[in-house]
Amino acid sequence: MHFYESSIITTKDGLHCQVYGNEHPLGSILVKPKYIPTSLVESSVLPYRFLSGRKMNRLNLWAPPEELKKYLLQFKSAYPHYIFKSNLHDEPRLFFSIPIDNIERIYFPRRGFKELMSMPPASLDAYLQKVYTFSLFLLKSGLEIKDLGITYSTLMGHYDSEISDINIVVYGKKNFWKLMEFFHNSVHDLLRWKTDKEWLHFRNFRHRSLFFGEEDFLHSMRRKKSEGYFDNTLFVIFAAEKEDEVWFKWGEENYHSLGLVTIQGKVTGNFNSVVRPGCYEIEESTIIERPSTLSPKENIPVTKIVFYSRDYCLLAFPGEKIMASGILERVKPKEGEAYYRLVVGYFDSYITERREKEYIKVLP
Amino acid sequence: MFSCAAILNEYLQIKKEFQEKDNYQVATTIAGKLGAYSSQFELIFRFLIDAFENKKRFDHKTPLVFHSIFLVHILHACGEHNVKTLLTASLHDILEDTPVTDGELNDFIQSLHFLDTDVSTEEIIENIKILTENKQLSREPVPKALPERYQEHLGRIMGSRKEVINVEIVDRFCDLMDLEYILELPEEKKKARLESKMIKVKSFVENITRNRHDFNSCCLELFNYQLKLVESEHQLNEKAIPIDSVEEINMTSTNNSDYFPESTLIDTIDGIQCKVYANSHPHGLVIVKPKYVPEELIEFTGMKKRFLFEKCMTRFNFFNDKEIVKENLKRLRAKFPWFVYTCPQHQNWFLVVPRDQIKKYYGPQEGLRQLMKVPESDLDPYLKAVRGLINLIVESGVTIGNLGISHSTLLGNYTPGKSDIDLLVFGKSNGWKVIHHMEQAKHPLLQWKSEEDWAKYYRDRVVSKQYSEKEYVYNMVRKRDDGFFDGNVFSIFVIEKEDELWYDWEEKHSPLATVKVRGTVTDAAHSHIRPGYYELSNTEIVEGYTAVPIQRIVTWSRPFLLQARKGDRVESVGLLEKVKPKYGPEYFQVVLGYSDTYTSDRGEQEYLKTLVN
Repeated sequence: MHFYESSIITTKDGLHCQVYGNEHPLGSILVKPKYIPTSLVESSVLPYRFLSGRKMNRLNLWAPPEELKKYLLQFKSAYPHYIFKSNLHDEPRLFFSIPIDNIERIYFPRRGFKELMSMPPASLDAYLQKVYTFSLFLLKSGLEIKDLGITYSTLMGHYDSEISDINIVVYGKKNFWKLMEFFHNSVHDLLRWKTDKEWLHFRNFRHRSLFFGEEDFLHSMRRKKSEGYFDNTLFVIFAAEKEDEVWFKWGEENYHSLGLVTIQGKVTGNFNSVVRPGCYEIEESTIIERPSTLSPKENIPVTKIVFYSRDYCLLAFPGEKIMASGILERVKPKEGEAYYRLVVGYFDSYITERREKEYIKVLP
Repeated sequence: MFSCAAILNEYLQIKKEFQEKDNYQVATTIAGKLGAYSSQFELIFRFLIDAFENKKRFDHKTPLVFHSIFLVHILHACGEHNVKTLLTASLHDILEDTPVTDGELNDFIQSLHFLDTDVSTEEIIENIKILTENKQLSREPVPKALPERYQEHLGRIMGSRKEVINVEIVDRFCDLMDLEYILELPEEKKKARLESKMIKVKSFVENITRNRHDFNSCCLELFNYQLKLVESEHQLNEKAIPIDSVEEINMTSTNNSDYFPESTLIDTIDGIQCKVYANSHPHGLVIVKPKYVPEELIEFTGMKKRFLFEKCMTRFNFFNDKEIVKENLKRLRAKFPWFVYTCPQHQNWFLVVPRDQIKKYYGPQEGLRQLMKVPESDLDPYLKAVRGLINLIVESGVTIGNLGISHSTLLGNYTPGKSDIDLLVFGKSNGWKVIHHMEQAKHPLLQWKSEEDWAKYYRDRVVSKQYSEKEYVYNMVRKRDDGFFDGNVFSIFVIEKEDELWYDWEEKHSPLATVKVRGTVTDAAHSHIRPGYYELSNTEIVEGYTAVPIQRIVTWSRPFLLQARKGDRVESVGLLEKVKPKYGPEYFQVVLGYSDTYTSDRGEQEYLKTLVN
């Protein structure tokens, strides 16, 4: 079932969730809980916010792992109906989903954007005027109002004008690439890209220093035009896949886990690397590290590196060599031949030692 | 390994040590078991021993300081290693039982240098103050209720940080450990004291843990363990007294009560956000004013827009030229005929939402409780100001459970620096308590408009042709329901509780004429709610109708609340009505602020003012 990534769902019991991916099981929408009321489950290692009249915890997957694990265990018992048991994966993978009946309201980024752009600019506060001006700049790329959305706090109205980011959704992968092309060739007085210092701060914050040397990291990040600053406010641009361009359909493949491996390969395609889950097509793969359960002699050709974390979007380009560590899966499509893929960033990786082991990086 | 029995044994053993040995030495041993913070707690315990000056308990042999130090030990044994809890526990009695001042305490906590933690001195002192009883209040037993002192204290603790809750649970456990002074009393007295002790400890623990799950479960287990022992040993079975049991209104339209409190918010099925505009309502309807209407539903004229909740919303209001208001009402009625209710009893119309059109109700009391639980460090400056104002209001003696937040403060769509803080006080007597408290309150962040500010406001805005500048300033400057806190405008709304509603929708109102009246206020007890009223005597109709006695002036308009006090001579223009109650004789009243004033000439004529000599 198709449902656009980055829409916001509030549930009848008060959770604020962000739609996670564009393909979903029938009758349920995969999400990441973003703000969770503290009435049933609470952790003081997670940040707090007062939202919608409730004390909420903000789910931060980079919280101390033991505490996060404890919290998620409590979450599972407090909200068992929001844990999705996938029958496509042979190993239990952690997915969160909202059954349709539990939805209180859906905030649609595209509708929000259209409404925002219909507002008399004078009626907007300083923050929304900034979003509005930035949006006018984006529309110069040739994209139309229907191609764009706003999400998170900007959409819901609980932004803090001093610290909230601007989160833009681009509908359609082609449109997203078109916008990236526009950024490469455009300037605006209020637009700037992240400095090396800002990227290095991000690298430390997301534990990327474990895998990336500073220079390698900066080389990859400097090319990203999906994040920057507009009038000194951070903006992040996401892509949402249209229904006719999804690179996989939920339910049409089964996944057999073969353990944590490290591979190298050459990128042949990154068109799908701008969405969630994202994907790099690769060739000439070799396994560098493998679990003892895999025979050292076995030749396993991996053709896709799949990731759930946006941090790996737009990282590598065709022709480049990449290295990745994640769960190796044998994929059996309903139709067609089986193939192998490597998956980085399933939710369960954040509460296991895999959190510090999984990565994707471009090789020099 | 946590064990209730082991803690009970330790209690007796360490208590004996405090009675017989050098207290510094015993305290140092206890501090040594506190892991990373041993050295700081050694200092804290020394500070405590000095502060308590070797005072003894009722038994004349146990040093008073034993309790504060042992409380830390128990919490640690319960697995509570949060330094903020331990620090709060150690110092929880210091302001109540020793000569140490706020300033000295502040300096001491700062000197401890908890560098590697997020300990905030202000937060710890706030915790301690919450845990400190108000000794001005009586703790004399009251039949079927908690003494006033405990009620007030409990109200302050409920909804507090979990650190406070954990300390309080263990503190009440200690109450159950120290019963010797009661057990030595004659049988009859002993029984009565034990019963009231049980009621107290159970009421505290049950109320403060109700509807929350963030406290330390071992602390509660320990309390319950000892409670059962005491109850079975002395054959007691007292029940806790629930206090501030907030009437939680169902969040959906399944609420069968007619009670929807004034100034709270409801969403309609169509996504219109409305402000409830009275406390009592006609059966099946809720009196409202639309606040935000999605532009996609109705295109209004002459009103501001806001981008909120994913939509372009029109900020609906009546403060416009009456022809524009008429036009907007026409558009509202055309799309949603049910919004305009023509009341046969009033021969007038009101804006309403039928009960079956309500999608969501936002609970202001629960919202405030939730806000009070968020750690101060996670609040933005606006919400910190809200908390500060609540703390100031709580000093009036009105408990947290009787307060609420509404509008953008509750929903989170506030704009710091621009949005008002809207605080709700439930209960008419609570409302007066708060207003009188605010009249006297001194706080560095609290500000009122001065006479000069009001005079300037009058000159700049030409508020009304019905007031002279002198009259306007006189009427406004004594009001204490609107002010500034930390630079934010705040408004206090007093809300009637369900059992104290005065307005009867069954009474029959006959509108007679627009009149100018004068009278003397004999009772202003209902002048702080909406609709509110002033009881009058010595009335005269100056213009507009023949001489009839006016019993009261009723106002639906907030600017005319708190406008006069008992004994004041007032003048007013409004709609004269003859009222036929269900029971009792007919009477006359003057009403200000019915909705039709926004679409008629009467709106510009209406006023109420206290006459200045």
